[in-house]
Amino acid sequence: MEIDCNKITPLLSEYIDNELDTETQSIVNLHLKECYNCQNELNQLTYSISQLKILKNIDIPNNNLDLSSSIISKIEKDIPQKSYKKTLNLKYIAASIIVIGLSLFIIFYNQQTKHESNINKADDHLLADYANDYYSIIQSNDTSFYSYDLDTFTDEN
Amino acid sequence: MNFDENLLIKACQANNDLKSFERLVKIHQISVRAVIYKLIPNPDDLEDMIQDVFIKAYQNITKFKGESSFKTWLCSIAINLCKNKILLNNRHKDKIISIDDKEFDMIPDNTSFNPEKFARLKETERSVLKVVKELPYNQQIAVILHDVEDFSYEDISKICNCPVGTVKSRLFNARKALKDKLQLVSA
Repeated sequence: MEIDCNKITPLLSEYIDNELDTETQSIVNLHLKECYNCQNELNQLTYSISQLKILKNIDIPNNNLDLSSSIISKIEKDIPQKSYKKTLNLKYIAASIIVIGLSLFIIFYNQQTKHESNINKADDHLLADYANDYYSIIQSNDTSFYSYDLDTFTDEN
Repeated sequence: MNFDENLLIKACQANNDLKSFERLVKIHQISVRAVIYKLIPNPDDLEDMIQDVFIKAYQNITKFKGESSFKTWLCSIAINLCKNKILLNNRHKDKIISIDDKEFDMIPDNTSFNPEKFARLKETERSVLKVVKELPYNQQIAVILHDVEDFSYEDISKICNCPVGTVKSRLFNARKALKDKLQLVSA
């Protein structure tokens, strides 16, 4: 199958970079074996890329000059660091106050609930005692209780 | 991105830690310098441009999400600053000539120094960079980042904020344009 060179040459750049899928790459390979013009085109492209690589080692002025300290001092000077830290600190303080407040609230709330439940329990016990006493009096048919009560009432009036 | 670098970035993002940022500057300043130098018209602006890149990076470090390497992210900032600089600078071509004459003649400090060979190499570097700088700016970026600085297509697409297909076509057009011109430049 013969392929038009105009379809192959646009692919040569990616071919050099191994960016073509395997199927396209094999088509280009087959074409290159037969086509002198495309081989020439490929060689020229490869050569120009190798020339570009020369720029990799180009001498750059002050390449070893460490700019880090001057950059940091410029940042410290120009960007308001302290206000940022202040805001950050305020945020932490506010969060801490909320957490402590919530903890105290939970502790006091628990204690209050415990206290109330103790009182309720005591009331329940007292009521139960009264009920037991009353029940045992009724069961024993002790009339003195009524008469005594009645007498007391009568005397007072 | 290695583990240490990741920790440094996290420290900067969490509480703008300047010590961590200083270490990041130390790690990446040479790469940033190399990219800017090859893409700006005037080397006198080089130091200022590097400072601007890192200051902008520091101010926006919370926007770095780790979707690319930190170096790629820094280069995208550098490229944007270079573009802005070029838009502001109408004396581009005049300045290229001044770069070539002034900056390419730094003599290496080694004993096997061969003046003739050195002069030839400098001449080649000068010619190659001059030819590259005649390309449309987007093609210059593609060629410098890919063929000189070894960034991948994906990285360049992130740096230039364009699809990978656009990077491929810019690279193809740039190489096509350079092909004939660079044949004349002897190594």
